[in-house]
Amino acid sequence: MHKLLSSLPKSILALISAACLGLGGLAAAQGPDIAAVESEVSVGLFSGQTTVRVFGSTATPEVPIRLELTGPDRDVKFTRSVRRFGIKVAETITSAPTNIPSIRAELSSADIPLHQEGDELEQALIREGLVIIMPNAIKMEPTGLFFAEIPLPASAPVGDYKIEIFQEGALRDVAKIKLAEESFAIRQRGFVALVSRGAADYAFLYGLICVLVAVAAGWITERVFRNRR
Amino acid sequence: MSMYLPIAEMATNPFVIIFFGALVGAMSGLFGVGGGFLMAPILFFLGIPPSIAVSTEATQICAASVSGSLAHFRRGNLDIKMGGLLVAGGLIGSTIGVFTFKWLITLGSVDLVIQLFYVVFLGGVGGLMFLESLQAMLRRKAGKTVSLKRRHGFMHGLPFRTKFPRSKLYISAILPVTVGFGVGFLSAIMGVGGGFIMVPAMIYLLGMPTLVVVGTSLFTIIFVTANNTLQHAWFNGTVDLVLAGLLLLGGVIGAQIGVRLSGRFNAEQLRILLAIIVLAVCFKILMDLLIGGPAVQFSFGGGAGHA
Repeated sequence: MHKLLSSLPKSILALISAACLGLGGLAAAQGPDIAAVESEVSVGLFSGQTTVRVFGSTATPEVPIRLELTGPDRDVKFTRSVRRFGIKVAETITSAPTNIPSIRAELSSADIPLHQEGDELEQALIREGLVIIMPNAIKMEPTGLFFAEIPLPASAPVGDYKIEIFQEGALRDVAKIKLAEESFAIRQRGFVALVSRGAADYAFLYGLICVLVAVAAGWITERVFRNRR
Repeated sequence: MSMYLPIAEMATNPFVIIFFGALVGAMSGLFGVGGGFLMAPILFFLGIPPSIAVSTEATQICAASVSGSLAHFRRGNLDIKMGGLLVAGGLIGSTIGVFTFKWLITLGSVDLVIQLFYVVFLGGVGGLMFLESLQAMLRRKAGKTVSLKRRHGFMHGLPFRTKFPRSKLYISAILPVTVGFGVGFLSAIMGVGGGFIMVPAMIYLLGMPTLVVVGTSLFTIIFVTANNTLQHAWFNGTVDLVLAGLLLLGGVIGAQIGVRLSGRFNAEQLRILLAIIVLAVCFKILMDLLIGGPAVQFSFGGGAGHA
């Protein structure tokens, strides 16, 4: 069922979500655990911050829901400032991971803190908005329907994203039960996609175009303003 | 309103970029420098990845320099012969600079080296320019004739002497080629046009008249930054055309404002103003080196961050 939901357009998904939450008490809420997200988020020239909507239902609404979003993996280098001869020098932390998700978000339906004091690497990522921690960000209805909006920063890279939804401690012996796993992609469209592909596939030509644009812009400006000085 | 930058893969406020582009463009028109040394820290502050910022600002500086040097050419304030020799040296220097940059990356100390380069050159050039201009201003106030000291040392005894009628000089061709080489090398390492080093070098080392210096400096910067843009786009894929467009829009407006403002100051006032800005940027980078930012930092994708 969730595959079918995933393929629906964003507007229809939002409508279904709003309708379900508004009406409440639908029989579907008592059925198997399901979740759905937009299948693709596209970014154009005037796109700003991206918001991803997730909704679903659970048979055990009394147990808090936790959602984890992970973006495409990227190579990373963590450095630590150390003082050498009076000046601060960045030294690579060799024990740190070298490949991590480019962005990560954790949302919860509960008001309990999702994390105790994170380690210093995690704190650095939180400071730059690449790890997003949002307690009480999942709206849970008594019927078991839930809904969440994940605000991704403007720097969220294109690629494939994964969303996993858990319930913690639903069973005595199991710490964490995965309710659902969904995926979506951030893709570029229109002029943005054209520039991106051009820069990657025809790098020399793209560079020449950049130089020509600069020379033309400078020349046109001088022509326009020549007689006004 | 926000605009998506395809290569930087992030959205940004276009008006903020246009505003800062105009600010730096105004400096270009005022002082005859590209303004890269100021634009780079501004773009980092706005959250643009360093490798994208450094590569893309070269495109803007190139456009501003085309506009500025054409204006100076029409006024007869451009020494094409001198500019050609500076360009020749500049292209050799920037190519060697690019390879040195790659070597520094393999050593893992590129960020520190760049910051130290900034401190040494901005501090040295800014300090010298400030003192010289201050002395000239004081002499002018005291009613004494103001003339730049032209030192006739071993440099003026070098071979391949040639006439530069526009600059009223008869010096060795090795001198401008060497200055161009140095500027091109530093341009590749520091990600700047190099005007802030070239302008004082032309005045104090080559002994060129201030009137010709600005146009000739901008002429040289066109070729150095065009070379940088092409190389960065070709080998690193770090030139963002949308960001460049926004910077260009602001830059061309600012450059015209700068040219108009430049008529309101005399040469010493302009030089002392530029010296203060150069020293302020130097102080900021020095403070970063001494005090530093957060203890733990990170960078994605292995892109070499600049100062």
